Amino acid sequence: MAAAVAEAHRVLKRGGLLLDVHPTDEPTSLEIWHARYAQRTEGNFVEAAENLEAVHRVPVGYLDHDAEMLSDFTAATDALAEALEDESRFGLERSTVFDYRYFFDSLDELTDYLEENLEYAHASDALLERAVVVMRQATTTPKIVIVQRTAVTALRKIG
Amino acid sequence: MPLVEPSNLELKTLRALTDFAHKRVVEIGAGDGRLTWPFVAEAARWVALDPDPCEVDEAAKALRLPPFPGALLLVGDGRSLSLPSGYFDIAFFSWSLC
Repeated sequence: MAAAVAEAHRVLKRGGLLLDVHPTDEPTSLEIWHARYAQRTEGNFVEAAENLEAVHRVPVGYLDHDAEMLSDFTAATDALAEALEDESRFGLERSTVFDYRYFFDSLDELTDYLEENLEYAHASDALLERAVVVMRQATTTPKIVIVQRTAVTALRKIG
Repeated sequence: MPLVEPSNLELKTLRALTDFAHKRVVEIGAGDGRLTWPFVAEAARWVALDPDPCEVDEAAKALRLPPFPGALLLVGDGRSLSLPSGYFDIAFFSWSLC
């Protein structure tokens, strides 16, 4: 069992829950969203149904990934799978996936964010050029959106 | 500005899997507290760990208003926790199990 999972098992009481959220190793996609805002909140765009009348999502392509860095995400999945091998310690409670979305107002904002935060992925010039074309076609203020598939898993401590 | 707060979808997904209310929670790899502050007020006890002192400072700033008496922020490594055995209801790895 991975050291971090073993420590989590130790500090959990019997019947306690190990809850993990991490990105999957699926490619991270780039989209342009054209939204009509039913209601503007103070400051940032808020991803909430009540805030949007309609959203048109236009897929632009995928970010380029550092395969070595992505292996960290498969390592997390492997650690959970390994924890389940010993049925006397953990049982699978539930597992699901959702799309984590990052919203940007401009390409500069996007590339700055990728350089500072998403060290395993970057946007190629061709991808950014396609994004510019789609943004020019937008009928409302476009948002640049990174979509990252993310897994959430809950394991129950058995003993 | 990019949306740096947790998305509604992420919070809804986590709430669908577990209920943090009145629970003792250890969050491993809490970072700047992005996934701490939406839940910390519900929990009986919330210990948030991160190996990076700068991130722990950021989390402390985020949690200062309003203050949460049940919250404890620590610099620590999830592979070696200085915490008691069999104490917590939930061990929460927030993008840190790798």
